[in-house]
Amino acid sequence: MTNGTLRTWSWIHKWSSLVCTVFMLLLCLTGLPLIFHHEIGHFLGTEIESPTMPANTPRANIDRVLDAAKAQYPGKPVLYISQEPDDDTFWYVSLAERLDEIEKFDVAAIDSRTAEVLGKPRFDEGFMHLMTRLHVDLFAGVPGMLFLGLMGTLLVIAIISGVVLYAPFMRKLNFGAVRRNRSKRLKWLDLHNVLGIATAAWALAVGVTGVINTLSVPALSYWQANHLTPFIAQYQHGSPPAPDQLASLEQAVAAAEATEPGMTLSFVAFPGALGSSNHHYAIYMRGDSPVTSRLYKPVLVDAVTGKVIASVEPPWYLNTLYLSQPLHFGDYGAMPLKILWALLDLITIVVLASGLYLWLRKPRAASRRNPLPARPAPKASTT
Amino acid sequence: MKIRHSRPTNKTLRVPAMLAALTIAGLIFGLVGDGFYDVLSWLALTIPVAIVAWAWSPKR
Repeated sequence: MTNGTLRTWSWIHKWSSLVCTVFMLLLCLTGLPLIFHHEIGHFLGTEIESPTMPANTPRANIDRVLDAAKAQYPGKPVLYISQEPDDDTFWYVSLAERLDEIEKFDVAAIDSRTAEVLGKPRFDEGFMHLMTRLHVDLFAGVPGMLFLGLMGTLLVIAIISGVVLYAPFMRKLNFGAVRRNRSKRLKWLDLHNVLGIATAAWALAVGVTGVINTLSVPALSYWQANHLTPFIAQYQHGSPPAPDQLASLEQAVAAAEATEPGMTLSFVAFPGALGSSNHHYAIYMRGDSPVTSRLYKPVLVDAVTGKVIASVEPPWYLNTLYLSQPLHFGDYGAMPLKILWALLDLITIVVLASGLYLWLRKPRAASRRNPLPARPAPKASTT
Repeated sequence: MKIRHSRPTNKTLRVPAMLAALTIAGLIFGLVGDGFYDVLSWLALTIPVAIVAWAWSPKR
């Protein structure tokens, strides 16, 4: 690598990291509790606890579940009904004033076997909500998500440029060498390099999947407008049916399960809500293996007649989005993976903070004269 | 014969490349299966964390 290209990569590394570091520190700090959101919810008492019943206890009629939820929030339409991936003992029923709501929902947790109300969890208040919003959109909705996506893109550039710079900077040192006996700055430079390179692949994976996740709302809207809507254009006329015209969801779900045997119900988007059309229940089915359980396939059921219209194979960009979620959350390998995720997150915080420290403590005058690391005479180098 | 004052790039990058490969394998193992695959995933991802602990520990 010539001095010129080295200088270019240094410039890229410096500025891409400087611009995004504050936001990345925020994301690492707020992401840490989010890794353990179930455990924290359990501890805070905000997690829904359903009574233990035999595993083969039959499911209650879903229409009764909906009625129980609607009784909690009279006059509001249901937008979604969903289950946790690892717990089918209760439903979350999400209602809102408007069908185009994407953020603030009234939620009722209903026991899936007895249709009893288990709680009315608030996902829009409290510590975990604060962490989630700071992590996802800075309380700024879709523009906030896209802004964090841009910052994440800078992080990805910073990681790549950091990896490119690693070899020329480290060629005189053994792997993992930390020069502790000279200056404090040199020690932190070496730590920044070894911590950064050891966790680069993980940080890159979480960074790229995080950026993909920031595109979820535009991606779903795009899919709805350009994939789903043309597909069902023949049925698309006028506004969504009134709630009292809706066909039985219990029967619609049974029909969807018969259409996709071997798949499990994950959630249902009601007519008019994001993820569905104006005239259908979009019944999202998922597979059973660790990978296919992340890939949702909506079965469209006419919301008035209850007839299955079609299964819609998700396009590549939605499958990419679905697969990028576990790789960002670290929620697909039980508690040990969560702990590893937290440790790698903490190491990333050290890399970010040490990078900032190295920039603040940069010997200015010297760096202007000689911004490059001490290296052998140019002719002796093979690169 | 050329006198080399420093190691070549591919030697400098040998350990980092191995760590990156282990990390990617760990991330994928967790996705493809449960049980045994999860254990493989934990083992693979523990190695970069252990390397960090080793590099950071003052006495070695």
